[in-house]
Amino acid sequence: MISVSEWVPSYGDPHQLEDEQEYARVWEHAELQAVDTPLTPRPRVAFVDGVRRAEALLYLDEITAVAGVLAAGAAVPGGGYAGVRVERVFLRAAEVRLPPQAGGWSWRSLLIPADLNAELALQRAMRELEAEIGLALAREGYALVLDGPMATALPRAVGYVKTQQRSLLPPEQNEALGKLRAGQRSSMFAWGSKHGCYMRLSHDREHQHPYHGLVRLECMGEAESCRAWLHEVAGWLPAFAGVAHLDPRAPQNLQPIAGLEKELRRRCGDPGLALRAVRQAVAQLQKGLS
Amino acid sequence: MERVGLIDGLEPGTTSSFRVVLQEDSLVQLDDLLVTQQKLPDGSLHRTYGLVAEVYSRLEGASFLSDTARIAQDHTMPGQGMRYADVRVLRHVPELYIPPQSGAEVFKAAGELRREALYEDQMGKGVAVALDQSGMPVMVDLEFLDGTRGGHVSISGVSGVATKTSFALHLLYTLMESPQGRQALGVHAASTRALVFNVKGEDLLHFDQRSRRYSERLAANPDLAEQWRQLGIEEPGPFRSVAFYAPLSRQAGTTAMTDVSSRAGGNLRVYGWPPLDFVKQGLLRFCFADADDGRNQLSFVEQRVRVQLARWTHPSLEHPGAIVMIPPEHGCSFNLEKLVAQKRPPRQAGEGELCRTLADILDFLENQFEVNLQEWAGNTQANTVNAFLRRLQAMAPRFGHLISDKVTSLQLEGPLAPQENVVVVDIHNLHDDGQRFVVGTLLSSVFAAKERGQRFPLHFVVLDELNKYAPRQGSSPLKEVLVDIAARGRSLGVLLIGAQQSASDVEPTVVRNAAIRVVGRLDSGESTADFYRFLTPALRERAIRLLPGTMILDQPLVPSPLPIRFPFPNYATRHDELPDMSEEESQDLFTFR
Repeated sequence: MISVSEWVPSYGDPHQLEDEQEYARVWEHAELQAVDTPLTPRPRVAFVDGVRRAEALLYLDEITAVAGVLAAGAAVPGGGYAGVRVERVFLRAAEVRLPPQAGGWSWRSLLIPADLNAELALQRAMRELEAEIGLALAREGYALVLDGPMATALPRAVGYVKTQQRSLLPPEQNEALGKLRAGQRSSMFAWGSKHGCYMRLSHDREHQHPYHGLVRLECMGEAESCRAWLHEVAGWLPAFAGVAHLDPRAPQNLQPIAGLEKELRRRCGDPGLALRAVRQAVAQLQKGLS
Repeated sequence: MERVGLIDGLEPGTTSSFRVVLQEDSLVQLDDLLVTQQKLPDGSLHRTYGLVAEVYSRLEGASFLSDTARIAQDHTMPGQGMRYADVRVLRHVPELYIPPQSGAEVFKAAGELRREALYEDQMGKGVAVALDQSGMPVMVDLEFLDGTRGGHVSISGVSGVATKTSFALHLLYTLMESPQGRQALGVHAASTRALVFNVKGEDLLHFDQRSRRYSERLAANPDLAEQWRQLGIEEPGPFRSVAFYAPLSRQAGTTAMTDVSSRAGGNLRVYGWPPLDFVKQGLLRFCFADADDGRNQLSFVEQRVRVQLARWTHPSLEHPGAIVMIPPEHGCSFNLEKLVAQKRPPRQAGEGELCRTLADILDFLENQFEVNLQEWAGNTQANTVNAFLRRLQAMAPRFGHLISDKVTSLQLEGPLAPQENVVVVDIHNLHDDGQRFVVGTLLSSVFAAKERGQRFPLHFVVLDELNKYAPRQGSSPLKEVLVDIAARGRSLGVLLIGAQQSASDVEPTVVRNAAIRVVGRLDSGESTADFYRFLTPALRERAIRLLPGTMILDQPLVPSPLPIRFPFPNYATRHDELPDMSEEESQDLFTFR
C-alpha cells in the first residue's frame, strides 16, 4: 500500500513512531476504540504558543552564550491576540551583560548552567514564558489549547500534540487508530500523570496516510473529569484544523496557532538588525574593557 | 485636536503623498484635511498638510481571499481589520520640501490649521463660496477673480446634473449679496455689475424672488441654515437688485412686448436695437457670427456693406431710432469710426429711403445690389454677393424682429445702463443665430465701454454653452470678442464666468485663461481631455460619478483641486419655485400676456 504524508517534507514526519518501553494504559474501554464526539459550542478559548530564535552565538573565552528572542502569546478566536510578550534574552554561564543599543534593543540576562546546550536553554525559557501567559489567561477565565505536551496542571487546558514521535500505545492498539473517522476520538488512556486520547481532525482519503490528521490531546487531573473535558474539546477542535493550501503542516497545525506563530515571528523583528545590534553591543563591551 | 492615526512606516512617504494607518476609533473620509508635525534639527516645527485621496480597509493576517470568512465569520483564524488612507500633500509650512516623519501622529486639520492647509492666510481677499465634504467653508481668493492676480471662471460639466448655472449664480450671490463678498469688492460693491444670459427655459427670470423649495428644504433639513451661516450669510434671500430683459416679440404690434410667459410684464423690460444703433454700432458683423462664416469671402462683403450703410444712414425725423438712407456726398469718409462720430441732422422720410426694421434695410440692400453693385460689394464675385444676401435674408426671420424703431438700445455700461447690479438677458427663445447676435452685440459693447473706461467697478458676464459662442474650430466676430475678453478682460474689469458641457469643444485660449476652474459631473469621454489635467486621475474618475450639487474647485493658490458643495439657494431658479401667487397677481400676469 502507498500513501502520502500530509506535511511538507522539511517539517519531518508527523507519524514517525519510536518504540517505547512503557506503554500507556487504555482505561476507558477494554480495547482502544473510536468514540463519536458531541457538537458542542466552543468555550471562550485561547490558543497559546511561543516562538524562539537564536540571533547570535557568542564566545566568552571557552564558554558559549546565545543572544536570542522569545515571543509568546495567545490567539483568541474572534478577538485577535492576547497577552503577547516579546523578550530578548542573553543566556550565558558567566557574569556578563549586553548593554542596550539604540533602536530599542535590550537583552534580559539569564544565567544558565555551563553544561546546558544554549539552544535547549532558549527553548526552556520560551516554555516558561508560555506557561506564565497561559496561567494569566486561565485566571481570566479562558479555556486553553497549549501547543505541545502539557507540562503543568491547569484547569480547562488541553495539551495539543501534533507529532507522534513516541508510540504511547502498544503496537496492537495502534491499528485501531487508523480506523478513527474525522471528528472521532479514541478511548482514553493514561500514562504518568496524564490522561489523553487521539483524535482525527479531518477526512481521510484513499491516497492519504492511515494516520492522516491524527493528533493527541492530553490533560492532567482526575480521570473522569479529564475524559469529560477532552470529550468536549474533541467536539469543537476540528473547526480550527489547518487548511492545506495555507499551511505546510495542515491539518495538524491549527489555524489560530499558525496565525499566532506568524504574528509572533513578525513581532520578533528583523534578525539581521538583531545580529547587528548584538555586534554593536559586543563592540561597546570590548571598548570598555580595553 | 482629533488624532486619526500614524504615518505608515512600511510605504515610504514623500513630499507629495503619504499613507496614514488609521486608528480604530477614527472616522476619516475622502477629502478630509489632515496635518502632521515634525521637529526640524534646529528645533523648530514643520507641518505637512494633506487631503485624503483614498481610504482603504483590509483584514491583516489574511493571505487568501477565503481567509476572510475564517477571520471574520468563523473566527478560526486570527486577524484584524485595518484601515489606512492615502493622503495628497497640500502644503508644507514652512515651505521646506521634506517628507513627513514615518510613525508621526496625524490629526484632523481644524480651525487655524485648516485655514493654513487651504492657504487662506495667503489670500488677499478670501471669500467663502462653498463648503467642503465635511461642511466647512472653502474660500476663493477674489484677487484671482477680479483680475488683480487672475480672472475668469470656467465651469464644466454635463447638462442637468452638473449644476453649472446654479453654481455660477451661487458664486454671484456670495460675491454680490453676502457681507464678506461685498466687503471684498470694497467701495465698488454697490456698482459692480453682472450680465447673465438666460439660455434655458425661463429659469433665470425669477431669482429676484424667494424660492418656495428653500423653505421646504429647510423644514426637511435644518442643517441648511447652518450651511449658509458657514458662508457668512445669516439669512439667504433672493438677489436684491436685478433687471430682467427679454427680446422684443415677433408678434409685437405698435407697443414693445416680449414672449415671456412666466414673468409679469411690469418687471420685465424689452430689448432690441433700433436701426440707427444697428448701423452705428456696426452690428451687421454679428449677423455673421457663425464660426463657419469667417472662413469665406462673406466677411469681406460684410465689412464693406457695414461701412456703406454708415455712409448712407441719417436719423429719421419722424421716427426716432429709424434711419433714412441718402446717398453719401462726394468725399464722405470710408472710416466707420469717423462716420459714427459725425453728428448728422435728422432727415424726413421723403428725402431718402426710410428703414424702420431689419427687413426694410434688407429691401434697401437688395435694391442697391441691383443697381450699384460696384459701390456696395467692390469687385467681389457675383456668387459671393449672392451668398451674402442669401445669408442675410435667412437671418431676417430668425432675429430680424429685434431690429426695430419700437425699442431703444440696451446699454450695459455708461450713464444709460440699468441701475440694477445684475442684468439678466433672456435669449432662450431665439434661434442660434439670434443668440449669437445678442451675445456678440452685448459683450462687444461692454468690452468696448470698459476699454474706454476703468477697471472698477467690475463687470461679470455669466454665459453658458461657451462651446456655441467660442468653438474650438473656426473663427467669427463673436469668438474674437470672447478671446479678447479672456485675454484682456482681466485688466479691463470684464470677467467671464463661462460654462460649457465640454471644455475640449471650446477655444483653448478662452478656457485656459480662467484662473478658477470648477468641474461638475463629466462625461466619461470628456474627463480624459487635456484640459482636465489639473485633476488627479482619481478625481477624474470621481468626476464621472459626481452627484448633483457636488463640484470640484481648482484655484491657483491651492495646489490640489477640492471637492465642494454649495447650499440650496433661497432664490427661485424655476417658475414653479415661486411662492404661491394670489388670485390678483396671477390675474395680472394673465393680462400682461
